[in-house]
Amino acid sequence: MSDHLHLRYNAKSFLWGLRHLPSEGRILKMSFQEFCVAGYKMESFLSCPIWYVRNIGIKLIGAHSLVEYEEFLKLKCQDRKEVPIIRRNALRNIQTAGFQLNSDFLFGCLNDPYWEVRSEALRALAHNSTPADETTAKLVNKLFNVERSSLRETNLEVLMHYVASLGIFGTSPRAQEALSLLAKHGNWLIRAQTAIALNHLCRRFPDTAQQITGVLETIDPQSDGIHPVFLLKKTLAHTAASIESSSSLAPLSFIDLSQGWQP
Amino acid sequence: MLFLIRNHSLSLWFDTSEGVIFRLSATLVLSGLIAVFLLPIFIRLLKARGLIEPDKDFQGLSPSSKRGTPIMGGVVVMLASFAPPILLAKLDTAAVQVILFSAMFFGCIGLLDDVLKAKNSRRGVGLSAVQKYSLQFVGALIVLFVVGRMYSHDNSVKVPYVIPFLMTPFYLGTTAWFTIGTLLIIFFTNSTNITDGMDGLLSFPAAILSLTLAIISLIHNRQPSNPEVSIVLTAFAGAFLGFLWHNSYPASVFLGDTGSLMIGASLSSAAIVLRLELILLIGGFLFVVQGLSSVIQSYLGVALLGRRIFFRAPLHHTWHFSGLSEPKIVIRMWLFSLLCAILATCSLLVHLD
Repeated sequence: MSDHLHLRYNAKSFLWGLRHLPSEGRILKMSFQEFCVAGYKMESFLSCPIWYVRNIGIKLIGAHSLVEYEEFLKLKCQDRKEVPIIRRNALRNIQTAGFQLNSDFLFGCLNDPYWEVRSEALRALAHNSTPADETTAKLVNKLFNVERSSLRETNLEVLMHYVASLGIFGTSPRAQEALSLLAKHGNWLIRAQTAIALNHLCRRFPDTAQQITGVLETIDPQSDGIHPVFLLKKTLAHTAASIESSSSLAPLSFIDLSQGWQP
Repeated sequence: MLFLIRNHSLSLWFDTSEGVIFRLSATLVLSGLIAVFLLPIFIRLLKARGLIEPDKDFQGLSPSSKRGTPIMGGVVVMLASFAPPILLAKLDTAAVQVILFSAMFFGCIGLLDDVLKAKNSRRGVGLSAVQKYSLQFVGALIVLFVVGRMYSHDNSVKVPYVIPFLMTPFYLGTTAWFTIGTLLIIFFTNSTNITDGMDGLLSFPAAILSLTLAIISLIHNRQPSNPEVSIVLTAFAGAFLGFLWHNSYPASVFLGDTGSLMIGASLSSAAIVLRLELILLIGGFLFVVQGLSSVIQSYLGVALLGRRIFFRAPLHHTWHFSGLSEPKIVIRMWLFSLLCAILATCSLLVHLD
């Protein structure tokens, strides 16, 4: 059925053959046995010249935890000649498959030029690392250019993950020092993430509570971010919940226009 | 038929030979009022029929606030845009017919897409990309064929492009003109569709651009049909502003593809009729940026290079994901579109210095 998948390096023939290839969603929903019964070869997917077919192969490894491809995925993460989205997905699927990742490998991924790979590496680092002075120092050195006292990272999403990681596995006072610098960042999202990270740090090091409160007071609360609250929708949800849950009659309340709209 | 009815009855009330300025003002007010007063009735109808936005389109824009908002507000925008020109413009003008046809044709493509999406509300699947682009291609070809017939002599289009600032006439062969025109209509139509991602983000810049083209076509009066085209464009502007009354943040109704495709098609075909294609790109630079950012991200970035070139695309999502709230982005984009419109007008007035 899928002999065309063996024509690895003939892109034209492969594209012709792709007309018979089901959608990515359908392939990923197959069990690995169904995949093999359909006549597909994993090797053909992974060595295909078309990157989105290789991408399906990478996702299949993660979805079916194919242990024999663990090293392959790790090599793909570090292969700078590979398409950036594949590097990102390789790293993501190492975690999906539950393969072990060490922090040296992940710190290596932080040097990747593509921001989504760095972002993914930090997510994995936060998930896998245990609090240690050495890791914190390495992370802070990656983030800050000490000589110029500036940030090396410019991408907002990656920066957010750096901040979150410092809160999750950073050790005081190195992490606290870095976070108090990030608390002055111009973007409110970084400031908000810093506050969350400081909270994490405070829970792990209760004796720093006073200093962290001091840092929190220096954070500029002004921001461009608002989230709308639809009072009618909120009231309806609240009313439905209270009808379902309460056995006794709740005290009556009314919308007092002189006090604004808040019911 | 509409033309006959109008000529035999309504022309007793509205004399199309009257001054252009009166007809422009009446068109603007009338289309605006139709949109403002018809939409609440239509919103109730849409809600009763369950024609509401599927959840998956929100892209991080507080889904709880958007959920349940009716789509297809564009149908009323179409009605509000068409009624005043039927009453007040000279419908026997080919230029007017082309613009109204283009708005109607592309609006119907959008309507079909919206209806299919609403029917498959769980999956939110409408027309496929191939179907949509094919229909748009057909629409663009019809528009260009009619405009080509309007302006052609000896098998070549003899009305020059207007080069902004320089004001030098610039001629192109028919094939090049057809190719550029088709690309412009399809690109601009999809750009307006992409821009319609936040409350009020499309309607106000579209109204500004319509008014700009209307004013330019009056000032830069190269064709006898220009005043009539101005009336049609003013009707669009009035309808978009009337729609904004209900679509401003937080929106009570969305344009849907019906409205967004109609807006792009009407503006681009008006620019082609007026030979102001380059002015359209300056005045509608907001749409150009939005469209280009999306094309670069999807086709050049993800499909070809296998990477995201921008943080998010189109541009309003980049800003939103970077921490700006929706009303702030919308107002900044309004200001930007206003500046572009002023620049577009000035680019044709430099010769008056």
